[in-house]
Amino acid sequence: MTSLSIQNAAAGYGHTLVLRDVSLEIPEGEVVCLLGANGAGKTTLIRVLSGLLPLKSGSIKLGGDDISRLDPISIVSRGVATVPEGRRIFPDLTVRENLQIGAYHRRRSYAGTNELDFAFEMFPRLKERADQMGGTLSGGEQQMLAIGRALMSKPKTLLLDEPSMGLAPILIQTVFETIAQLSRTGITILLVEQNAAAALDVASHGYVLDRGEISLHGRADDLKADPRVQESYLGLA
Amino acid sequence: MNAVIQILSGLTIGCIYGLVALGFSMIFRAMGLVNFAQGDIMMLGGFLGYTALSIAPELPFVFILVIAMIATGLFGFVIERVAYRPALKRNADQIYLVLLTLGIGIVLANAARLFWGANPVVYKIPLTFDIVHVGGYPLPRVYFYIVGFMTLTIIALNLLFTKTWTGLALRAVSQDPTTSRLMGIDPGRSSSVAFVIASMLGAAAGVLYAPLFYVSFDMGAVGLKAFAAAIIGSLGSVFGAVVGGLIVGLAETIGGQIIGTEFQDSIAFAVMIAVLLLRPQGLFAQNRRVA
Repeated sequence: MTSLSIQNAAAGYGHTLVLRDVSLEIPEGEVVCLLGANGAGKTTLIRVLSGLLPLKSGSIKLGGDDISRLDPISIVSRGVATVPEGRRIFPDLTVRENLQIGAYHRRRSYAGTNELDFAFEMFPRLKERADQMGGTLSGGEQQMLAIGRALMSKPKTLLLDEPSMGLAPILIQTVFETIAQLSRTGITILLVEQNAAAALDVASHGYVLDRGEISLHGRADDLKADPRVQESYLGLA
Repeated sequence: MNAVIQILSGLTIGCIYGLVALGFSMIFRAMGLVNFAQGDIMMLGGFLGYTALSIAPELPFVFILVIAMIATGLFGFVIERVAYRPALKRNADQIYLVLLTLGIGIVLANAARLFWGANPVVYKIPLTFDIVHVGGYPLPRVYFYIVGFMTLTIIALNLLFTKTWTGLALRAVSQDPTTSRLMGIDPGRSSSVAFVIASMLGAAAGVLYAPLFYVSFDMGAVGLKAFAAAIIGSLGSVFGAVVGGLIVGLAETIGGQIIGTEFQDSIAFAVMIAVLLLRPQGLFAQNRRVA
């Protein structure tokens, strides 16, 4: 079991609490999306899950193990990879090196450059640009690279922070298709998104985060039909 | 004939500056810190080599070099751990960090004075007096050691940065420490590695410098010229550190001949100021990729 479960999480910066009391279940092999306005605490939750920000209270369990106090290195070694907000490609590493560094935590079992083939198959654009610096890629290419880099760690769980942010509509579609495709391979996915309509399409369950608390949650189809979600997040009246 | 020898000796001393400048650049890239103790690390390496020689006078020079590098590398590891990393962790202000590195340099210089005395020491080995004739030019044999070591260093650093996980991690951390952690990289380990390499290069510079000149507790001043070299080549650039070192070495040797050797030391800084006026980012700011 590699389900990810968060219970009564509280976290923040200094004395300011950004997450007050957040509980969330991500069942193994499913896509769960987390919606919410800017500043609701979505990225803070990703930072907590990836080990960058310590919890103030509450707990995080991965397949039954408590991972609340682990640092990012231990978390990625347990199969949880992050595609951070803003992609955070290493600008002065080549595309190839950016992918390779995703495998850093399992470097002892790394079998060489042919391990990159699956990423190049999934994102042929990256193969064309393999020797270019990461910083010279377009936003969409960088997003693919960020996803490819996370996959290089061979994760069982993937945390995606706003993968569609700043992308052209056609690329947004590609990104969501990629997520659906990844989900079919059995990876557990937490998808943080502002693009609620597309996120609810690929997700099985959804949560709505509002000022540090979960205000709504349920099956994705039910959320899509929920008037509160329609009004605030889907732009429907 | 004199001009050729001057140029060669300028390039050789430039290699020494380049080695120390590499140390400045490595640490700056890894930790965003200008380590002004780098010149005193060079001095320490020179003295440790001297001590190794007094214990085992028959040891080949290459062994002396390796022993001094390893010992100084360990030393660098310790000061990074006990002094710099805790200060960085507590988010010490840049100005205090600079003072910290200066302070460590002063402590090292005074400790060396206590331990090895105030008088300069000379390596009493044949290499110090060994002259070879190449194309009719008499040249100290150690020149070839210095140029050879510099060449090996460049090759080794290039392999490190492009072919090893450690090198890849060093580059990643210097670009984005937070995201590096998400990849499973420990930025602390990277700064240890950078410090150890910088200290080893500094030690090598000290040991290679000794047969040409001397070792003395106050030779950390050489580090300031190396700092000028690192700035000229863009602080943080490995390639730039080497070229900056060569520029400073050549400029001060040739300039010293033209203007007068008593002005030699100021030439390095005159060149640095001139370069910064024309190109404030240094000569090789674009070349971060060369690592």
